[in-house]
Amino acid sequence: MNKKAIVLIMVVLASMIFISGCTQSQSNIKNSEEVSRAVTNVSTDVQDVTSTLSDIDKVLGGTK
Amino acid sequence: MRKAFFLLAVLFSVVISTAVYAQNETTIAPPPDPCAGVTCNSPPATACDGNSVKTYSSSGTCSAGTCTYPSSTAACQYGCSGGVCKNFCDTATCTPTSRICPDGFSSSCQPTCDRTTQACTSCEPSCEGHNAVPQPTVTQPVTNTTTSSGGGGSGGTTTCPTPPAVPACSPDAYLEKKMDDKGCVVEYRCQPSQNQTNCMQIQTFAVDGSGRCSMFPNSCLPPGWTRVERCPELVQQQCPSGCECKYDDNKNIISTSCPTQKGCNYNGICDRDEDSSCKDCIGGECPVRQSCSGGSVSICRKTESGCACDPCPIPTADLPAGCTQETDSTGFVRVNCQKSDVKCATVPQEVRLKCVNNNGLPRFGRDSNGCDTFQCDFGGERSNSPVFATPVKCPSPEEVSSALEKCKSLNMEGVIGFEGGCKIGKCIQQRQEECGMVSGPERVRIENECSAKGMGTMSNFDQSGCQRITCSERTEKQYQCPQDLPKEAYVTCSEKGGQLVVRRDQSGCVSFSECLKRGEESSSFVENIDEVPDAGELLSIAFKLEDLKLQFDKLSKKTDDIANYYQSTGSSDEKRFRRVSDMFMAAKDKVDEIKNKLRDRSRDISVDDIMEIKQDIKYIKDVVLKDILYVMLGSGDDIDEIKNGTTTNCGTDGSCFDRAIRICQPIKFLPEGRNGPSVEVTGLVDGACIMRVTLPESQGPPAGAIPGVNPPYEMTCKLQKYSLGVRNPDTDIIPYCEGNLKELMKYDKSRPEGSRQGVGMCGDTICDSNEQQNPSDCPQDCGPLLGKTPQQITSTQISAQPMQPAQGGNFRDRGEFQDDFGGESQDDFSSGGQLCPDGICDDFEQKNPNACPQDCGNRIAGSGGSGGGFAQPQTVRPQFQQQFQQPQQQRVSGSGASQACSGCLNNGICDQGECSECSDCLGR
Repeated sequence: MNKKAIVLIMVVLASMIFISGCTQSQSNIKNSEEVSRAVTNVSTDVQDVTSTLSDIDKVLGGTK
Repeated sequence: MRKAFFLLAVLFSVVISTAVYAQNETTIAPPPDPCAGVTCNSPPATACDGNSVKTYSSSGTCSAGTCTYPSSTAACQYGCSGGVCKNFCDTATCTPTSRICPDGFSSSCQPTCDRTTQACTSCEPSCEGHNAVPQPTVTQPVTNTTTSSGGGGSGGTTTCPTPPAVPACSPDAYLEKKMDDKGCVVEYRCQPSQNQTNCMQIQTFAVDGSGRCSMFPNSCLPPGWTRVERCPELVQQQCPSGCECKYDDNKNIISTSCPTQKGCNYNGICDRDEDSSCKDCIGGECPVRQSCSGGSVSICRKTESGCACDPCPIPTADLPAGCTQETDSTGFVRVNCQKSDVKCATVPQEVRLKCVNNNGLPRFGRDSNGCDTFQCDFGGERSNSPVFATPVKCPSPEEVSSALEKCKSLNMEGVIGFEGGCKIGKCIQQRQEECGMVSGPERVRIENECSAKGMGTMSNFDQSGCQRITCSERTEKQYQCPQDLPKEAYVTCSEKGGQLVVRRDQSGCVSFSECLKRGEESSSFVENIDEVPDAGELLSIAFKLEDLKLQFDKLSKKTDDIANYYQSTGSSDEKRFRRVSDMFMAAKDKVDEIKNKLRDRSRDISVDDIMEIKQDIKYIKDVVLKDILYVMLGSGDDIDEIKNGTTTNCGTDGSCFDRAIRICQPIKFLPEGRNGPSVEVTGLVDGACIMRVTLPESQGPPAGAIPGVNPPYEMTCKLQKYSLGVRNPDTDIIPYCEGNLKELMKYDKSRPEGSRQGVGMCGDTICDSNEQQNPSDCPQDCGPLLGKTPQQITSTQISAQPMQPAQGGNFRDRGEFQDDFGGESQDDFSSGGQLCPDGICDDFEQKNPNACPQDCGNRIAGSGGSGGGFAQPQTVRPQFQQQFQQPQQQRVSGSGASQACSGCLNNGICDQGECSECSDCLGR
């Protein structure tokens, strides 16, 4: 493998690292409307997750 | 070179497949940003907006792939057309000017409109050829005599007197002649030229040279006045709230600047931050406001997706007395009630007495509402320290079974708790059913059931605020939703010390309701189970756990996204959502841990393994998730302190510390009072909760006592999984700490046994937490314990460790150690403990001497009753210096009875097993 190939690979790797760093988006939420929607969705999801945990709890037995 | 390209291709494949795998692993690849690559530099053309012209900024912002450009409007005095303001000349008609010439000819001219000055230029009608004054047809006599012909005269000729001289009139005047009845000119007058004959009786607006506008009753205008279409409104237009407006001379708004959120941006969309009086928010299909039940109204606004109205407030009549409501920026309505509304469950004294009489350990706690909680533990005795207490020895299975049986006699519920690796039987007070919204999957199931019956569904809330979905009698499949919760739901939540949060959707239906409460670690226990679920059930659990892991990961990223948004706006809400994100991530890790545990033990999983997993599941459900909702949606002092970074003082309240550490709330905590170590939680740094622990120099060993460990004694801990609480300090705290205090505590197990000194050293007279687990490893220190059954080991005996806060076990609630720091002396700390026997005749025991004669026997005999002789501090206060100074003593019990003693504990209390020569016992 010659030096050019090594340099090329290094450049490609460095570029990919750079690009992956750039793609770390800051926030997909742009305004208060979207915040409101997101918080509502998270709250509802938490209740659904709680329900799933309750189901697991029941399957494990012992629940009154 | 070929090799290089081959290698490059392989590298690409690896990287891309890694990226794909990473995305598949979480299956929550964020949706592509629709604004990626979008540059908003093509604003719409300037356009008319009624009688205003709207101009867009050259650069805009992208949202959901659509560019939005800030715009400003300017009012046009003469209207707008084609995106530009009209000119005066486009609307005005210049009135022709006319005059009467000397010979009576009416001359006129048409003024032109100057677009620059926006005024009609004057013109002068010409009288050229009409300046000759017409002569009367009668013969004008040269003398002032009249000659008459015919009739007795000399003929019919009238002779007029000589006419006066004709004056020279100015161009803007004409000559007027006055004649007598004989037709003779008697006078000439110059009259101003006026088009009096052309006046029309209509209201006419005109402006003079100074721009003053006035209305005239007819079309004839005085000189210098020019007709205009209309006079501008003289009433100043109202500037939208939060905006600065510029006006023209006629008080018309010519431009607006709205720097605050409440301004009008005139972008055609009624944004959330726009005032309801803004033009964007008025008219159209979106009402300005809508009526709510209870007579209130909510403000509506246009949005990109249509019309959004603020959630309706809860009808005042439905709120319990003394409760108020507030609506946050995300549309959630919170009901806040006074703490005095909280109804605490009482603990009958006889229950505690029974607990003691059955060799149980009565344990009191205090929940977030200040209510005392009670449970009676059997086996699993722990150290007396208010923090990091450690079970001494795990009870046998028979003892656990026996404990559960005893609970029945106490009329309490028997449950299992895993603490420090021990399975402990405990009796708890009867629990109340907790409920909330029906989950999405459950709702779908009910809807399908009802649908199969050809019915719809109907949702309601019962008096506890629990949602109930039932099949509706209506034939059409219509989901009937409740608009409000029953009043009793608010009362019930208030009495539980909760904060009811309600969210309505666009149709006004209650889409979310939850009685927010802090999670209570003490409620993390499980019911006894008899058998292990079959393989199929365990497999289904494994799948559900995998799904949960993905859910938590998604929620963590979503809430982190919300935190990023708040960070970009400079809002302090960023802190609360950052914590929520951390809590989701910790929950994900915990689920992963459970999943691995299930997998690793799948072949020979035991009932105890299942119960341990079950407790972990319950911990996530009843503690972590409750904390998450509380931090995300709740309000109160805890949340304010998180947002503002202010520090609260927990005093000696261990449960306060427990709750605070789980949300990384800044607090100060003195687990052993003023003369013990000081714990301070300072907040989040890089995703870790920072906790500092310091030990006063006077409480530690003197400088030089331990080589290399000198004052000040302190350590800093960076807790990554703080939201899971401190369930085992050995694994949850100590590994993340740095500082000489950690060294002092000898948690640094990397050091060889022979090189350790002080606390961790075998032969230091201290049976520390490591040695307690295997007392036979160090009979020098733990010898007295070896000869006793667990029930005989008093908690105080095993807690005699120089640095209690960092040794084993959970943080324990010590309500009786509460401290308001109002006094100066140590006596301000009320003495106390909650275990029996713990060497402390606490408040309850003072009032009920029979409850724990082991603690209060001597005092009762000596003082003749409760309340006397308890002024001196009895707080457990490790005294390093004394520890190092006191030798092993002969065996004398603390109570005076002759029995084997194990040395000096120097905790301020003459404990059982402590030698009579010890400083603790000398003064008694």
